[in-house]
Amino acid sequence: MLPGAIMHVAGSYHAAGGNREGLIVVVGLGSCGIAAGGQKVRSALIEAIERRALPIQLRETGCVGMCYREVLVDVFDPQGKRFTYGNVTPERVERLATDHFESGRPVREWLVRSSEESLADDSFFAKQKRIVLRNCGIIDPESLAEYRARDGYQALEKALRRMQPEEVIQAVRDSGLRGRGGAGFPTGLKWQFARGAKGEKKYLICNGDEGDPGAFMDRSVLEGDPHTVIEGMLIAAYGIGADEGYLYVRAEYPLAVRRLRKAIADATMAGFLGEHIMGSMLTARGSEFSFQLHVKEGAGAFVCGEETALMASIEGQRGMPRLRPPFPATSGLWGKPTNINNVETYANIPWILLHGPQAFADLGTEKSKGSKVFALAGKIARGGLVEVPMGITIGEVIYEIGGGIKDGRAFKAVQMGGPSGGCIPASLADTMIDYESVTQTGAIMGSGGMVVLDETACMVEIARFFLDFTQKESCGKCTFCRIGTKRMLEILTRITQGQGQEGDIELLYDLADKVKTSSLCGLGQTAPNPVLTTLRYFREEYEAHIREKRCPAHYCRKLLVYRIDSDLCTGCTACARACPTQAISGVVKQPHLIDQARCIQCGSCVAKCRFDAVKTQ
Amino acid sequence: MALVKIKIDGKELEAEEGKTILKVAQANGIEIPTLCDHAALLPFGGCRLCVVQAGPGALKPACATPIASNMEVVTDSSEIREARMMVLQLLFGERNHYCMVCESTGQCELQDLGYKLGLDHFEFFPYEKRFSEDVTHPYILVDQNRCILCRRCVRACADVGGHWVLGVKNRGYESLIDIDMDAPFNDSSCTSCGLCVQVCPTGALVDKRASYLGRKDQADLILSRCDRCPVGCGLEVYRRSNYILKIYGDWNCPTNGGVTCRLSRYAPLYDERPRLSTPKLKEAGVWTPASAEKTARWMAGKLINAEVVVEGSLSNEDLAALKSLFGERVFSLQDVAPPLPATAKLQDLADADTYLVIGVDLNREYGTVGSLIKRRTIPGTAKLILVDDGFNSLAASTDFVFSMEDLDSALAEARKGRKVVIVYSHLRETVAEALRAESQFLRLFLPYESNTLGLAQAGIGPHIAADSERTVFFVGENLRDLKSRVRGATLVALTPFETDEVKAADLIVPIPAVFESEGSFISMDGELLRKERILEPGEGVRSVSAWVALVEAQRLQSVVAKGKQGGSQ
Ligand SMILES: Cc1cc2nc3c(=O)[nH]c(=O)nc-3n(C[C@H](O)[C@H](O)[C@H](O)COP(=O)(O)O)c2cc1C
Ligand code: SF4
Ligand code: SF4
Ligand code: SF4
Ligand code: SF4
Ligand code: SF4
Ligand code: FES
Repeated sequence: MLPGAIMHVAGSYHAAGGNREGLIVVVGLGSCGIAAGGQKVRSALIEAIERRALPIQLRETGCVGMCYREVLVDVFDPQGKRFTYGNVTPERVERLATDHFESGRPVREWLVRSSEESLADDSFFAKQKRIVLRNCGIIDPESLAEYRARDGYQALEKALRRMQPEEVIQAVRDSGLRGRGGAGFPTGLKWQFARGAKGEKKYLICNGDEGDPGAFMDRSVLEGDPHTVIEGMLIAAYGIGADEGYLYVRAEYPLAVRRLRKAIADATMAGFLGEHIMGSMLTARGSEFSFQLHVKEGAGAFVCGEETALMASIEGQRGMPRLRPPFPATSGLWGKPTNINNVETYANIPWILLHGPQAFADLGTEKSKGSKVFALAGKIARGGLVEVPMGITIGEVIYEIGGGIKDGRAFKAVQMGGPSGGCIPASLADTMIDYESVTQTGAIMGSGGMVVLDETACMVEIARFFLDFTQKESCGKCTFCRIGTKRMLEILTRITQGQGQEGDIELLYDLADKVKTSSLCGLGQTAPNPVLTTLRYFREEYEAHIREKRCPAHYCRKLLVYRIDSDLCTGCTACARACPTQAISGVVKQPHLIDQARCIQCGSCVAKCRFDAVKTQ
Repeated sequence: MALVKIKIDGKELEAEEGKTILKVAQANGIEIPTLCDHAALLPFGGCRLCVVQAGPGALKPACATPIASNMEVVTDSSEIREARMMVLQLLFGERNHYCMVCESTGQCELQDLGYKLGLDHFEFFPYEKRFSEDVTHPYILVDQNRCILCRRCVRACADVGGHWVLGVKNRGYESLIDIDMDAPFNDSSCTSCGLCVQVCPTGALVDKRASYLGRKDQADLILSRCDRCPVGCGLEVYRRSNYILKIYGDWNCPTNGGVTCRLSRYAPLYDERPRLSTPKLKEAGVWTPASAEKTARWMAGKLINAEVVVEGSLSNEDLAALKSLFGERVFSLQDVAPPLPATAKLQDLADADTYLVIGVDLNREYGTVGSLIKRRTIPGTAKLILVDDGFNSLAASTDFVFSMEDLDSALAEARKGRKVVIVYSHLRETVAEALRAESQFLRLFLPYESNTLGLAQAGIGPHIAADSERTVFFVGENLRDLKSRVRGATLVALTPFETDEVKAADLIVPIPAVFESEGSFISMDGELLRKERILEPGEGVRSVSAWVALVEAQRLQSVVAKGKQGGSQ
């Protein structure tokens, strides 16, 4: 069986200008690939190919999603066969060049995927449905030609040539697409509001701020297929009647910014952006459609991803949320009607227009259509970027796509939705991934972060970690979020340090409830979610910390009891010498003993013992 | 706007769509506690104290939520009360709110709310961290330890005052009020308009001069007008026995809507010039105190051929008194006539799109005019074009700065405007000539002194300096260079202050300082405004009119005496 993506690629060999003679070698140079040493691998490949003077085209692509296997190198031959090597290092390049490039013998033990045989990693793709990521890891993101070869800008042409703006909006409504930025608001409806808003001048914004820790969905799309996002924005602009737009990209994404700038320049040269878009290509109705697109680098705060704060930031003001209403659709950027969507939302649009709204609506559940991209991270065997049809269960994603938990440990929970989301316990692994079902667990779909936790995770600590993040990112405007989260964090911190008191859980609930219901913007309104979900599913862990001064996951250092296993202890005295409070006593070559009254749980003894004799419980 | 029906606490009401819940409730006598909200400022929705139940879902801030048709609002329930109490708990515990050692105690909105909502203990351990203070400003003390981050000061400084000095730095719990991106207050672009202090609900911004002298509610409130310049801003003056506690702008005054400037609020209270408390006569080169009677007699003896030169700050009543004594020989120290006749009023500033300001630093004089302009030009709603030679602090707020030489370019820029107002005071003849040609521009003339228009109306023209043997009387509070004006004459100065400058005179006579006299004057808009007397002057001090009456009496007496003498001969 050829997974869909591979079949597409086979086609792209020719599209990308491959000739009948040479191989095409593609290095994955998304941020993940670069971080894993992709540039060094690329240099090594260039060197090896040039030294052998082989007729090989070396190309680059973005993230294909198998981040756990980076650096990835794809080799296509003129017959359309594809071989994907994982964990490539500069040292491995030499053998690849000799065996495969020169002699045509693929190095089978390094292959992670191949069109010629099924390999274990195929299951990573089997249940995926790639719409947003259809080009990621396949085309060279810096090549407009490669994008066009894969139907690029044809959806735009279709819209301009054959559809009225209202029909474009209707198509998006029919598809059932909902915003992928977190709240899941129906995209077509949002466009309709913006179209209906009074005003000559309208703006369009793409939200690429992506501030959740551990999230990289938008980055991968922006780096791997920038034209898709631009095309989606163009179609939206045509639909609502906007002539100017901003792509707001997180400042920490320099590669995405660079590729977007290049894509905008290329698209402008080719007549897809600017004045009279596709004017010469469209004969039927000479295009009156114009669109200027600017890239704006983010201000570096999580709250700047909130739409009103984002607009304040574009206007050059402090990124602080504003009151809604008025909503952006009636009064947004500089007081003009504005439509704002997430990167992934826009990236779906060209596909929907080309394949028809029904094809999209066929996927998913009753109220959640299409597919969703997730960044799978944490204690998962195969972490990376995945795109799954809505309605798949959490368990399927974790076990079948992600290959289960790392190191054979037990699955405990999955944190969905980043700091605004919550922890879904293993017992709810059958939960379907759709907006309503996820929300029902207390977590949120969010933008697509999925952090998998195993049995070693302390749930109080997890809640503390996420709250620490939101507390620091609070803009400070409203009382509950600014001070309430700080007080909650103090309570969580003292619980993890063994200072928890009776009544803390109730106080947490009280604060969480008020921060949630009375904060001004989404940041505050969702900040308590990690606390509330862990309290809901793992209350006994809180109680163990507070009442028994015990951390069931053996994570909270202050709550550990350190003991020396007399069977393993050789009496080397290393621990006793390391202990800052001289809590360890014993005679040389005799088992040592820890005085619990003196022990301050610093962990020095564990670090020093070469015989693994110091145990914690 | 359309009227819609809503229900608040079960009461059916009709109100304009788009008004906030708070405004509608207030208009109908329903009380909702607020903290960050302020009637003179735009809604902010930060403190969340005003939360109400409006429709299903989360509680909403009444101050920032517009009403909608058929909305049902509940302003009081146990959930709402709990949420409000939590706001207070969080705010009280955020920083130092030990009220007994706070200057604002008894006049603090946070403290008031604590009492009103029944806060009886601190839920969270209060005040674990010290925040900074800034004491560098001559008039204002900033104590971040008492700040609740309501941003009223920030909003007032920017949106009302047009100064944009204050901001907020850092995020979340670390947020702090920021002055000009981290400048010491005294080195900042602050114009000392005092608006921030006026709106601060807590003890975070304190009027230094008023501190520890008493609370607002222990003082008498007197509504008056500022006579420091011809704008004539409305003031709220708080007096406690015979001293002024503080001066606020009057939010309800149509002239200034609450805005004032340093000249009304602080400058007079910090005037350190020595007061003249009794008349003094120079006798054989020695200053000798003189009785009121002797002084009046002395002055009465010098009236023949005498003339009086007045400052333009004198009230109409004082001017009338002087005219009764001196007839046509009353003159003005300064010019009176505008270089170009005015065609605009202050209210024309509200919807102009271009301001052409020529040769006046509106951050230092006519401050309220500066606010009315800057609050529209800095956010980009209108354009400020400045023409001046030399330093003008307005130059920092606009990209369009030209020298007098380059007036033509400034005019070319101004012609792009739809409604252009020229703002000017003194003008060089060549400049006036060039502006005269631009008849499509409105002209807002800033009279030179607070009652310049009153002088003009009374037919008082500028004094021409000359050598003469006459006696010249000078009346005013900023008398300077007396000798150079009239050499060889006998000089009398009626003035509140005993400065070295006035000692050039032969007789100095005490009159009231700014807050010690009442009277009327004509503002730049041509309105007859009244300034109230706030303080009682010292014993030896008499108003100009009172001195005139004494002199008049002495003169009559001497005429009678002379008549008697003549008769017996
Ligand atoms: C604190 C906060 C952070 C947010 N960050 C992002 C973000 O990084 N990217 C994003 O697309 N939406 C983010 N959102 C949601 C946006 O406000 C907005 O709903 C979204 O951009 C709308 O796009 P959509 O309709 O396509 O989902 C954030 C919201 C909040 C409250
Ligand atoms: S909820 Fe938090 S981030 Fe949002 S406006 Fe309030 S303080 Fe700012
Ligand atoms: S600012 Fe108000 S609440 Fe705080 S200490 Fe002063 S009087 Fe008390
Ligand atoms: S005194 Fe006026 S200018 Fe100065 S900071 Fe306060 S409001 Fe701003
Ligand atoms: S200084 Fe006063 S007005 Fe300004 S934010 Fe703090 S409490 Fe509010
Ligand atoms: S602008 Fe003039 S009238 Fe107004 S407060 Fe300042 S000095 Fe007084
Ligand atoms: S008064 Fe409404 S939020 Fe502060």
